[in-house]
Amino acid sequence: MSATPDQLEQGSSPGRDAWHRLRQNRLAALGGVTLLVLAVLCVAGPWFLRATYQEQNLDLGATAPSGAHWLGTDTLGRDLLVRLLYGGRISLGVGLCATFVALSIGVVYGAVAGYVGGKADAVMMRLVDIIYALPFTVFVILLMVFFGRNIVLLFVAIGAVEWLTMARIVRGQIMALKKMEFIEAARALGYGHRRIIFRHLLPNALGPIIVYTTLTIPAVMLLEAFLSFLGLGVQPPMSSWGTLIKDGAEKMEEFWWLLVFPGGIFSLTLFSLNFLGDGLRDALDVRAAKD
Amino acid sequence: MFRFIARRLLQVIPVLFVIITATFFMVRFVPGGPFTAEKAIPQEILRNLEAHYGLDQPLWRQYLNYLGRIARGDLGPSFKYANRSVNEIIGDKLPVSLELGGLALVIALLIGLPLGVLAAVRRNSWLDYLASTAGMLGICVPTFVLGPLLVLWFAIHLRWVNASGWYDATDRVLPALTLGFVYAAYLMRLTRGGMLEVLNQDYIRTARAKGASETRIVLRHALRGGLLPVVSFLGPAIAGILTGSFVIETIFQIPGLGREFVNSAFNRDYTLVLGTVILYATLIVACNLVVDVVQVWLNPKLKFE
Amino acid sequence: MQGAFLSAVSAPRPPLRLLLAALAWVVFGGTGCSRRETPVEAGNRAQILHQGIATEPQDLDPHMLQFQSHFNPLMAVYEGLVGYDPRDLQPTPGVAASWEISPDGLAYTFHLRADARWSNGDAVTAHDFVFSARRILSPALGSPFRYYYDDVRGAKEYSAAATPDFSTVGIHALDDRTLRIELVHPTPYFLFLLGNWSWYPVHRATVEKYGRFDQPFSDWSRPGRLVSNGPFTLADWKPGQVIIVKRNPRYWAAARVRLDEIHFHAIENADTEERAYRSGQLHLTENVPGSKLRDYAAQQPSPLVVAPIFATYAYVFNVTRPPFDDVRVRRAFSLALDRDRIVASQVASGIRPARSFVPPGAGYAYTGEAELRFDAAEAHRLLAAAGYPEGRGFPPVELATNTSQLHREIAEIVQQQWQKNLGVQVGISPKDSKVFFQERIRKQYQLARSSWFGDYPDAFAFLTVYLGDGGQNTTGYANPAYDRLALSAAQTLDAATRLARYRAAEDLLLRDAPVVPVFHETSRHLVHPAVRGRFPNPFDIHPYQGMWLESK
Repeated sequence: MSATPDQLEQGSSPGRDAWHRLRQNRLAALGGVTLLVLAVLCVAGPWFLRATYQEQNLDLGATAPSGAHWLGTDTLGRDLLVRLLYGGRISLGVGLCATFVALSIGVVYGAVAGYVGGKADAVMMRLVDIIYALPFTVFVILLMVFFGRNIVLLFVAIGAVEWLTMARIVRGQIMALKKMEFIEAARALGYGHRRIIFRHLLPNALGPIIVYTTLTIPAVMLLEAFLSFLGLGVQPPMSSWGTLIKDGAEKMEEFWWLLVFPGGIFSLTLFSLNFLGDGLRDALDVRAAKD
Repeated sequence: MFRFIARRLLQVIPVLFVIITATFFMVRFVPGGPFTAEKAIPQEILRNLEAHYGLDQPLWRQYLNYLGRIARGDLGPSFKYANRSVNEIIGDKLPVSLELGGLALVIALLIGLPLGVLAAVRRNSWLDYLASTAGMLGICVPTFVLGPLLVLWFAIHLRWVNASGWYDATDRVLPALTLGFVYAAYLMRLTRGGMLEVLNQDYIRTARAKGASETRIVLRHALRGGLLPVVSFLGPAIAGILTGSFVIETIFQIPGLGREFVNSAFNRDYTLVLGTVILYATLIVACNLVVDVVQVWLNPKLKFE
Repeated sequence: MQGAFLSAVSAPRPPLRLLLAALAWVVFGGTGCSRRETPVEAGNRAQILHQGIATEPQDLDPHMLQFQSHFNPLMAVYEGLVGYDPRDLQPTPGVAASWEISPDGLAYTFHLRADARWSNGDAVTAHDFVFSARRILSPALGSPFRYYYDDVRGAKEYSAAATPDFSTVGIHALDDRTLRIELVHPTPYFLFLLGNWSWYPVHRATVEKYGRFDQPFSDWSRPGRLVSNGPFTLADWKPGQVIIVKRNPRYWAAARVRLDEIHFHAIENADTEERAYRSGQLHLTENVPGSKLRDYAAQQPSPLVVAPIFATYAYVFNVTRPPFDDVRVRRAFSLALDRDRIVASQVASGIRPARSFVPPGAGYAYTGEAELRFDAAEAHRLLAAAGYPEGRGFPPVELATNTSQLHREIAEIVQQQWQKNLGVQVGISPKDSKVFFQERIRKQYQLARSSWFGDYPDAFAFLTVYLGDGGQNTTGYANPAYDRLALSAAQTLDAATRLARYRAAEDLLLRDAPVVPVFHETSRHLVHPAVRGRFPNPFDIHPYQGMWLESK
């Protein structure tokens, strides 16, 4: 079709292309919207609710969902909906922050190691091996002893573990990519190392990185639940989705709502993350044809 | 390739050394010793115990003694299990964890890999959605929820198997399934992701244009590249799955090593902590070496550096 | 673009379906895919008892026992001078067929039965008991339960290595079958103590074969080596799984023992243990998960056996540091606790609100003023008098507890009550057990959980904790008047005077309030209806001689 001057095709950048593709992917859009809604609910929701997360009602005990308590109450008579929303703040916070930490450190570390290669790569990867082998439980106990019962501490502990595998995966990708012709071309053009890594290599490695990120966030949240299983996680009377699921799992036969609702929200979050991640990966795939 | 392997094997020694040293001092930093208990132990008894284990010596000397012991292959006496040595404890429990982990790994590979490939190849089909959903469930549902659910159904309601224990062959089923299902989900997601990446590449288009059959394309061309992220993940995953899972072993009361990784820390059983760490570290290093070799084999463009 | 490969998997062809079916059969086929005989059912047939013991003991050396729950396997393979009647725990003849007590209560003479045998045929003699006493009291061995011998003349000094000569200790073998024990002061509950594991005899030749007699951590008690004198012998031990004992034909009362085998399953997690019970793997559980209590209690008939035990759940203060160095603050905290409410929230567990530190029983019941009542007004007044009206200005304090679910739940309730009734902020600090115990011992806490289990049926078992120099007194509390009362009471034979002195001592203790009792504990077990001859009692001791299995 021929273009008239006033119908010139709008110029577009890869970013805008990607956003456009993402919006068109219905599942991904749904996932993104769900996440947003959940986040808003968790942050703002408790203000609108009467009950607080620690208000006990011992006479009530655990009750099934009802008009007064939409999601029921736990064994100490606390409203489950409020605890779920408060817990969401912590879990989403932990999930996102720890993953962000793991991502930042892991991607850069792995990219550098993969790109540089040789002795430096060997040393860097051996360092990863070393940190990976150190006992995690001891590490967490140590942190708890020295820093008290702090949520930030949880981020640190979990982020410190998750970046390692990310680094390894990124390194693998980079090592494969750096042999390709377009990198040789970039080098021939005289581009600096930083530019090559961040503008040429990493964008092409985004696929597995995004996939693994969508695996890291649930892993982080589950690791937080595991710490609760050990009694090392979030401290009472605060709750997180991990502690709620763990309590619910123990009591699921008597009080099914204690497991179903936290588990349901947890799964919903992860599904949404998953679809969003898939959509992101598809959208950012520079080889996908526009037509 | 052999020079590569030899060089990596040489690197094992300094790596292990650093790990051992770091762990040794890390555990000593934590408050509470192996003999702190609810009923306080009288001072003289405590002194005797500490003398027996050499805990009354200066730390650097304990450290050197320990290194000397390791060089002879002796991991020392356990502090918590008073009359058993760490070698003995690991010798008892490692085979159990290996068996559990091995079974779970087989299940995970048999289910996860093929499903991932199929999901990628038949993208956005019902198969893909089904597999992806199952995969997400496997990732979302923690083992401490899935395990009891399986036990409730198969052991308590149907009474097909025992609820816990590691006595006969049927006791292996539920724990291996629980553990395997989770790893299968991860493998499925990673495989699918990796395959999708590769299937979009130009050389795949070329192969198709040349008229190669789908099967050939998938199995001979795409699989190698698609499995790269999976292999990277499998390295530490195998080491982890083989050294047991704390949650599975607690839920099913399995006398494996997984619980010792955690309990030894809680018990301040210094020698057992170190013993398990050494074992784990050796496995990690070995698995990563294998992974690196496999990666080069999968993508010959990655030369051994 | 559909290739053959892809269409093949869109509809599983017969071969694939067959494969799936075969897989399912392989996975579950071994079990016959049908209802199989459970271990409990098989056990009922063959008189094999399956019992859960939460943690696995290190070994079966009675002198080095670590936890109360390990008493069970020990009770199966050993026997002491006396045993216990399963219903009321009255001391009954064990290895000792009869005994005499001197009028002043200071000398006990035991006559051992002629047919008491070790599992290898050797006769059990008085010398075995002397040897065992020497072993457990030896300073080098470092047994944590040496204090069970404190009432014996010379025992404390010997085990403190003050005297190297064992003959100064009041345990003598007058001949092969006569044992004489001399006490420092009359001890009414001494016979009860003799049934405790610390008084079990050990086989000298075996112990000395595998190391010095006082060498800790020797492995003489492993299967294949252990020689014991109880109704059962150690047959097998799969570490981390099960300890198997079989009936001992050489036991003097073997004819009366009806169980053939006992399998002790070490299952640490209470939920796992409960599932094992439900799937027919266990006859008896050690614990019951809190959330399942109500359901089990509602069953008809119910396998849940709840019994009050001689134990108190309490919180302790560190009285050496502010703000709890002020007795008014401590009493305010005590009065602000609505114990009835706490107990009501855990009603299925059968716990009783504490009105005293020493639980009722053992012939003693505290009848002083109701110091442990719920009185928010008085609590307010006391707190204000101490300088914190309405809780204003009260420094934030931490309640240390360990990480178990039950403790956390109770702590959360208590935290709420203190906030509501006093206006003070109490943070809950669940700590890993080791850290928790260490900080308590080193007085690095402000407020901590502390339960106490009485070892013998006498109030002194509790009051001894708060003696000024008591090794278990982690509060820093020391009151010479209290010490005088408690110690003199423990040495009084006359029941009336004794009890009166105990009451006076407890008066002092509750008024000084270094400890805030919350409730008296219960034991909770799941007991399969086929188990007979097992009766709840305040010490949760269940001898196996009188037990058998009978399904209706």
